[in-house]
Amino acid sequence: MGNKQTIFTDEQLDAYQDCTFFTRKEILRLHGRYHELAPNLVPMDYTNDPDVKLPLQLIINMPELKENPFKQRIVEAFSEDGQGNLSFNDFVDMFSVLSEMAPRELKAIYAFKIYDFNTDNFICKSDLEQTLNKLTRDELAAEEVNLVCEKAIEEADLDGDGKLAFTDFENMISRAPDFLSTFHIRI
Amino acid sequence: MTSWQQRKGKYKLQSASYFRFLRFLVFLNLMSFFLIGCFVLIPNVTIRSLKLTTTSNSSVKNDTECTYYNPTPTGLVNFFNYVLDILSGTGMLEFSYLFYGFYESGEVDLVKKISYNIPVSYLVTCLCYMLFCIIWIVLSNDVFLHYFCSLVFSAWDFRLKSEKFIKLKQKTIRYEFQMELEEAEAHRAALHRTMSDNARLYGYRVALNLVVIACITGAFYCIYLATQESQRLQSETSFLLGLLIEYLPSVVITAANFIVPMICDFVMRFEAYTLSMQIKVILFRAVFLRFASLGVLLFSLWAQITCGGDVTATDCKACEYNYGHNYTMLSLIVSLHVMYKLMIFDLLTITLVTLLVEFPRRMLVDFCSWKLVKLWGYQQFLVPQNILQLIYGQTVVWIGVFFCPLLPLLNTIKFILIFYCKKLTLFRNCRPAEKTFRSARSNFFFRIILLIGLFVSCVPLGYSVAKIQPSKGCGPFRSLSRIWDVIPNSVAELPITTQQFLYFLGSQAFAVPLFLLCCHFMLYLINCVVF
Repeated sequence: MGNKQTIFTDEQLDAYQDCTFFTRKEILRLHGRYHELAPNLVPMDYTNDPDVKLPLQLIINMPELKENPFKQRIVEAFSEDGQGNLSFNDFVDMFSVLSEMAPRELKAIYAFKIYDFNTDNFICKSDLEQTLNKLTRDELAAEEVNLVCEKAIEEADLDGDGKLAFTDFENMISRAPDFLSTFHIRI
Repeated sequence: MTSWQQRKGKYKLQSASYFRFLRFLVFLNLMSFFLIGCFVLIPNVTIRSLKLTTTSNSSVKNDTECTYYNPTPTGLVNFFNYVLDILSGTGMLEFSYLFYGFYESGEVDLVKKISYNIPVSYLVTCLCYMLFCIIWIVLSNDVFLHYFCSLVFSAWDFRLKSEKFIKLKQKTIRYEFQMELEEAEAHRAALHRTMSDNARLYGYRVALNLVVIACITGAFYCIYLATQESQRLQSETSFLLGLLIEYLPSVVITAANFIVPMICDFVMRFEAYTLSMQIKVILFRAVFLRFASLGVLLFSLWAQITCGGDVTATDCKACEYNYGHNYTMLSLIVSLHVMYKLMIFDLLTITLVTLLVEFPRRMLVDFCSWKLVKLWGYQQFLVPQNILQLIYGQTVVWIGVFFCPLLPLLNTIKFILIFYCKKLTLFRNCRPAEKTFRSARSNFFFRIILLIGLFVSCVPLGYSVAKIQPSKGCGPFRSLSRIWDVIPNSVAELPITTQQFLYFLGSQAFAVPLFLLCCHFMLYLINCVVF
């Protein structure tokens, strides 16, 4: 019911509804947001599945992400090429995982990707240092950063290899009660 | 951005744990009220309104002096008597479902062979309520975290959009890291202290602890005196003076709970504990003071009512408890009057402190331009102390619930009022505490204290169920010599096989392995939670 929209076919909308945690209305609204980032690049008619990707620079200027210290890593984690270029599918995926309806396991997977700065599938000490500097705006002294990283790895590293694999990360995050509510962006 | 918005941002980050705890307590009270409502309140209301007859098995000693009970006032009643009644729980509130004495004793025959045994249901519901509280608190425990890890990976709030909130959050996280590192450093320094340094430090600590114990003992003595005087002078007719006399124990307890922690804070400066140890010691002393002052109150009441346990003293001879001096009901004094008053006074304290202390302080700081006043600043919102106040309120309810079944309902309403009151005052009149409160570790710690409060309040309950003789004039247990007797009496009426089964459950062969199993389970839970 409602206005007959011509942006997506019904099958497309059904597919989006199945794969993400959004309703039809929200998907249409997301398309509107995607379109206004680059009105010249993004077509209004998506029925043919156009292959349009928006570059990193445009996405990280969204008000929801603009001031977030992790904005670059977030967009890179959801892009297929790892460089931060998002198609509309990636865009919807990103906000779907960051919505409040996504389950903890899914969020943990992407949180791990975000904090893994060198994309080697491990969170090593240098990844932690970069995370820490973004968390504290570079205002912690170098030895303090060093100490915190060592202690964090000590606490979460279960297999003793000096870096955190996804299992270590997931194990630790499952005990954090706030994770579900803080790893959330509302759009 | 106005300073109000800035404070709001920092507050959401800090005081969330307080409001989460408050919400948890509101739900606990609401759920337990449903439990009590289903098994005690609704059956009794139905029985009374349908005017069903109750048959009681044991003979009631119709001793007129001991069983006489008539709380409804006769003659003309002034309006302020109603207000007095609400504030002190007498009069119309006394003879209502709020209070134990209103409930009938004996059994009611329902359908054919099924009868509803009121005393048994009352006692068993009360015990189930305590068990329910224990299970709810244990199971809803937030998991204990590895602090550094959780700070690095889950402290960041992705919902923050504005630059200023984000800067604030980064500052808070930085401060928390620095606190945690300071803590680790202090630990290392403690390991490297010399022998003489240590000896001197421990000497200081022992002396200061003695000072604290002396203060606390002084407070207890004041509470004891206040309770004695309050009971003795209760026949005052003037409205305000009478109210003051009735609330004297509550006033003294609250004053003690206010002054002694201030002394402890002052003493803390010389004791050189690490930061986390400091918080634990402060909380331990405050908790001890609160629970022990309740204990002293109960003890002094018991001493008055049972004439110090001496059954042959003149006042207690006839009915085995002190039935003169306005003591119509044992349970009345222990619970309705005292616990109810403590609860109301707690609510009044919180609202009045907000109105009369925090609000004027903010007005003063805002409009007065003296440097000293500006330095003094707004009231700090100290999360641990506020949570302790909530735990104290909940413990009062647990102590009084057996004799005052609707106390959880009143407590729910009270906590909801406190919720909105604190929310208002937080954003307008207070500022964040200077030492940020480490919510992760402490949530666990506060649940433990809540559990301790529950166990502490089981002690007077157990004692009154097992030892004290119930009132002869009112209440569901009026015909028994001990409240607990209702259980063996009703078990004796069950078929033989059920009886044998129940005796087996209570026997050593079953109880000891069950106890060991429970301990094992608890240790397993603690292991899961801590590691």
